[in-house]
Amino acid sequence: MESLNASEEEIRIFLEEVEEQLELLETGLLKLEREGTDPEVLASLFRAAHTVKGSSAAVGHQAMAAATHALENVLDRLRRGELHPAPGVVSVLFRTLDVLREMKADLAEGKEWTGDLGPLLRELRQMAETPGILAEAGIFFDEPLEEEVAERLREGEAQGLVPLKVTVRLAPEAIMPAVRAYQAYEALASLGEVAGSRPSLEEIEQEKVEAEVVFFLLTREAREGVRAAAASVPEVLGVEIERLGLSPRVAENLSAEEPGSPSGAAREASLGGGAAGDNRTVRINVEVLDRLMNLVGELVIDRTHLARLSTLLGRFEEAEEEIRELGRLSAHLARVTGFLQDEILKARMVSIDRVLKKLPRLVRDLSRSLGKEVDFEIRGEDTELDRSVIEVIGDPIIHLIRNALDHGIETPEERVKAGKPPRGKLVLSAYHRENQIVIEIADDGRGLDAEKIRRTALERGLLTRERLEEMTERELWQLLFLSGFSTAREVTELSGRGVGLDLVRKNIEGIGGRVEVDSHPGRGTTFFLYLPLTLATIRALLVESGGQVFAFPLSGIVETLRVTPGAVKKLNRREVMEVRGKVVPVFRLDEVLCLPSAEQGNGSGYAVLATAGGMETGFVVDALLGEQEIVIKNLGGYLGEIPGFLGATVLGDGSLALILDVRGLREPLLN
Amino acid sequence: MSEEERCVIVRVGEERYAFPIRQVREVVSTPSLTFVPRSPRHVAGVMNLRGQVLPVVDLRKRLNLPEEEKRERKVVVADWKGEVVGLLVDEVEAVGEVAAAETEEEVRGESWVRGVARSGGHLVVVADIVSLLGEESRGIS
Repeated sequence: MESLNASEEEIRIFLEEVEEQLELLETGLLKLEREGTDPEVLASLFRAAHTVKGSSAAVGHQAMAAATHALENVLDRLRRGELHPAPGVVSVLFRTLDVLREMKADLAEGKEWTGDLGPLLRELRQMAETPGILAEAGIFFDEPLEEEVAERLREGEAQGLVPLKVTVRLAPEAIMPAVRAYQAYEALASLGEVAGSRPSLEEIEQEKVEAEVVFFLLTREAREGVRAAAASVPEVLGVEIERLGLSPRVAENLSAEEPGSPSGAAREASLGGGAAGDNRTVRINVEVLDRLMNLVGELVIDRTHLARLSTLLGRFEEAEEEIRELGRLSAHLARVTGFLQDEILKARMVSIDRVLKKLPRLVRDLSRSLGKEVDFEIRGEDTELDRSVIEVIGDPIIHLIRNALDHGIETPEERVKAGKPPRGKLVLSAYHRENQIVIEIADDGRGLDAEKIRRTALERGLLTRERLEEMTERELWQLLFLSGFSTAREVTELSGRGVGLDLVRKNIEGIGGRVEVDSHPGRGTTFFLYLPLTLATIRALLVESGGQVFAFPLSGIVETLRVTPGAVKKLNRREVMEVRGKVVPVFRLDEVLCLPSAEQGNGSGYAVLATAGGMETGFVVDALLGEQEIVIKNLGGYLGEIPGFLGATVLGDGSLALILDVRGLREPLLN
Repeated sequence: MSEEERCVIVRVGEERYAFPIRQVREVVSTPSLTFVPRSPRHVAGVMNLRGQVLPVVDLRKRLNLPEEEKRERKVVVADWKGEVVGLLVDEVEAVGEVAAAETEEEVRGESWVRGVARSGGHLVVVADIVSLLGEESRGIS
C-alpha cells in the first residue's frame, strides 16, 4: 500500500501484532463488561491499545493511530477510576474495536480503509473529557496511600502533571539523615509539588528518618531531571523513580510517553512489540512451517518404501555387506525421520485458544440479538492442536455455537415455563483423548426432536418409513448432517440456511475428523468434534479397482472381508451383504466410479466395510494392496471439489492415487 | 496490427495452436496420468508434478477434435488463476515470435481465440490459455 511507509514484510508483522492485540482488547472488554473494574484487566486493555497505537503510528496508519489514541485516553480514565464502565461506555469501546478490526481487514486485503472516524472519535473524546467521577480510594494507586495524598495526586494528574514515586536512599553513615531528607524534599519541591512523603514532613522535622525516604511528587520534569535534583543532595546514595498508579509492566510501557524520555521515540517506532525482548522464540512464517511439514511428509513416505526395499533385499540369506549396510542406514534414517516429524509437529502446535477467543463476543452479541440469556463457558482453552487443524475448525465451531443459541437454547420465558432457570448454559470443552482432540459443545436447551427429524427425513425422501422406524435415536441424530436437512422452525439470519450441519460435517470429515451428536429432549444437545492431532499424514488402505489404485482413509474403515461368490445378495433391488447379522448395502467401487475398464463383476474380490455418519457401507474392490502412511494433497481449484474424493497422494512409484471420501461416494447412491 | 509475442506452438492432430509463453511454465514429456472419475469429460486426469497434483486437460477433447489411436503426448504446464493446469497435446513443435493477424469474426468463433498467425509454413491459432480453460472451476459441485 502506497499510503503506508512500511514494507510488505513490515505490514505482515504489523497485521499479526495487531491481531494479537485486538484479541486482547476483546477479551478485556468482555471481562470489563462482565466483572466491572479490575485493575489488571484495565491495565491489559490499556497496554493493548497503547501497543497498537505505537505500531500503527510506526507504519503510518494514521486512522488506526488516531482511533487507538482516543481509545487509550478513555481506557486511561477508566483505569484511574475517573470513569465508570457503564454499558454505554463499554458499547462505544466495542464499536471502536469493530472499527479497528475493519481497518485491519482492509489492510490485510491491501485496501485503504475509507470509513468515517469522526463520530466515533467525538464520542471517545467526550468520554475521555467528562469531568471526574472519582474513584473509590485504593483502586487507582497500587501504592497504599493516605486518602489526602491519593486525592491530590489524582487532581494533579488531571492537570497534566505526572505522579512519581521517588525513593531516596541515604548513606547509612549519614550523620544528619533528617537534614538530608529535608534537603531532598526541597530539591524535589522545586520541580513541582510534593503531595506527600514517607516518613511525612512532620516526622522528618522530628528527625524520625531512616535509610530510605519516599516522596510522592507531581511534576512536569523528566525523570532524569528529577533524579539529578534528588541526587545533588549530599550523602544520597541512590534515587529510584517510579510512575505511580500502574502495575510495573504498564509503567514501563508508559515511560515512552513521559516528557523527555529518550527511549520514547524508539519505542513508538518498534514493530516487534512484546516479542522483541524474548530471544528464546522466533516468529516463523506459517508457509515455511507448511513446506517443512510437506517435505517431512514426503520423507516419511520415502522412509516406508526404503524400509520395504531393504527388507526385500535383506531376505537373501547371504546378503552382501553393502545390502546389510543399506538396511542399517535405512533403519537409522527411519528413526531420524520420525524424530524430525515429531519436532516439526510440535512446532506447528498452537493453543486452541486462538479460535475460541472470538467466541465470547459472538455469544454475547448473538444472544442479545435473539433475546436470550446465556452463560458461556470455555474449558480447556490451552489444549494444543496442529495449526492446519485450527484453521479448519473455526467455522464449524462458530456454526455449532450459533446453532445452539438459535435452536437449542430457549428464550427466558420458555425456559421458565419448562421449569428451568431463565439463563441458558453453553459450555465448550476441548480435551485430548487417546490420539485425538475432542471438542464438545453442550447446551442445556430444548434438545432434538426425534419425531420432527423422522418427518423431515420422510418429506425429503431421504429414507423409507421402515428404515426410520427401526433407527435408534443416535442414528436419527446423524441424519441432521445430511445435505439439505434442516429442522429449523424458522429460517433466521443466523443458522437456518439449510446448509448448516452438512457443511460442518464436510469440513470436519475433510480433515479426517468426525462429528457426533447426543441429545436429550428438554435437557439439551451436545455436539462432539473428534479431530486428528495433525493433518500432515494419515494412515490409509490402498486398494485396486478397475485397474486403478485408490486410498481409503483408515479412520473410516470398519473391516475388510473376502467376498465369496454368492455372498452379495439382492434385496429390494439393492445389493447387500450380511456382516455379523447386520445387513449392509454393497457397491462395486469400479461401478460407483464408472471406471472405463470396469469389468462385469462376478461378485468376488474384497469388500471394504466403511463407515460415515453412523452408517456402514461395503465397497467391493479387486485387490487390497496394504496399509500405508499417506500425505493428502488437494486436487486444486481447477477441478474443485469432486464428490467422493478427499484429494490425491503420491505413491512410491511417483504416480498419484485418489483418496476416497466414503460419505461423498455413498451419498448419490442412497438417494 | 497485433504485436509480436513469444509463443509455444503445439500440435493436436492436424491443428496447431500458439500459447503465449508468459502463460506457460514448462513442458513435460510422457506424463503418467491418473484418471479422475466423476470429473468433466475433457479432464484427462491428474499427474504428479514434483510432488504437486497437476490437473491435466485433454486439449483434443476440450476442442472436440477427432480421436486418434496413437499419439505422442506432452503436457504444457500453464498458469491458471494462481495455480497450474496442464494441457495434454500431441507435440510441442516450436517456440518463437508470433504475430496474430486480425481475423474475421467467423474465424475467431470463440472468445479464447486471439487471432491467426503463420508459423513454419502452417496456420496457427493464437490462443489465450486462461479463457480456453475457463474462468470457473471445472469441478462438479
